[in-house]
Amino acid sequence: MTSALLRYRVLAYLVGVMLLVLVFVAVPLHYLADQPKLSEIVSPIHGFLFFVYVLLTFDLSRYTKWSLPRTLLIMVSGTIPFMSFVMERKVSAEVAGQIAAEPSA
Amino acid sequence: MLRRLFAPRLLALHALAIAAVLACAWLGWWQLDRTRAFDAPTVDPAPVPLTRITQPQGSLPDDAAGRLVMVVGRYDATQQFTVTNRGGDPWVLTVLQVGSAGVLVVRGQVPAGSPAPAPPAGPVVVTGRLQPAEPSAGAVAAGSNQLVAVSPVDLLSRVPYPLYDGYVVLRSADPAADPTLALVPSPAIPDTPPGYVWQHAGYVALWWAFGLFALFFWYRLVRDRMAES
Repeated sequence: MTSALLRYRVLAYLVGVMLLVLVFVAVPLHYLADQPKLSEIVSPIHGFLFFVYVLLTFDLSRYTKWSLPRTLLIMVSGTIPFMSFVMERKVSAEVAGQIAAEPSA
Repeated sequence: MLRRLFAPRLLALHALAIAAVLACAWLGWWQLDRTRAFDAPTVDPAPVPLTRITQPQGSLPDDAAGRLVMVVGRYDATQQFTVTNRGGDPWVLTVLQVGSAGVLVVRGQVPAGSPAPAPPAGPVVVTGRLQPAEPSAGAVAAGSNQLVAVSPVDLLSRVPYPLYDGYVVLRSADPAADPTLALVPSPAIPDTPPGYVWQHAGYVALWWAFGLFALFFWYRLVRDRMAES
């Protein structure tokens, strides 16, 4: 569970940072300054990383026994700017608690 | 087994899974269409009358640039110009009078040094590609018939009637255009989707991967629920 959490956290950070780059730099450059290059390159990379993030969230949910709505909420929060960081902190604290309560794992 | 699979508490899950898979499949198809659009040949829509797109002194709508247009009028032989800074042979530009206004028509190009042939007298039907006006290079000098930019604005002081925005690059005319004039190429602007082919191809793979994942997620959830009961 510790390594599943670590994998999840790395991707949550990556996806969160790329989303901020997209929303606050690449997309304004594309539509306000007519400079589409950055968003055309960052968007697909973000898309693939988000897919990996969803897979790792699913993987983590197998250990944590989250309910379906909760798992979906954590997946979706990866698409909301800043929310991914908030959610990552919440999830990390919660799962760290679960790991501590389970010394055998 | 079947009864448990269709238990009320699982029905919502099934519906959600079907919606997710269909949505991902459709989004993937959409991106596949965009991927294919990159090597589809560009097809010009049929020419539209210029007068239906814009009015004299009005500005061209955004989607008008690059369209094939048809104009009926008479060339004004007193308003003929050459555009010499085109890299190759100079362009011959004549104002076509359409009703009480005029539109710039690039009739073709002549070898440098050759005289520009006079336009035909009488009514002509001109079909050509409508191009947005070039940035103004300043009013054409008095007494000069040489243009630097193809811009109606630069001719306002010279042409005694209102002009249409933009200009038409002739493709065919009825009666036929002067054979000493070579047509200026005006290829269709390819109507490709934004971005790169690989980007859209990647999105196809990505959407379908999401669809497969939704299917897998649904399978695991149903399996777990049925094991619990």
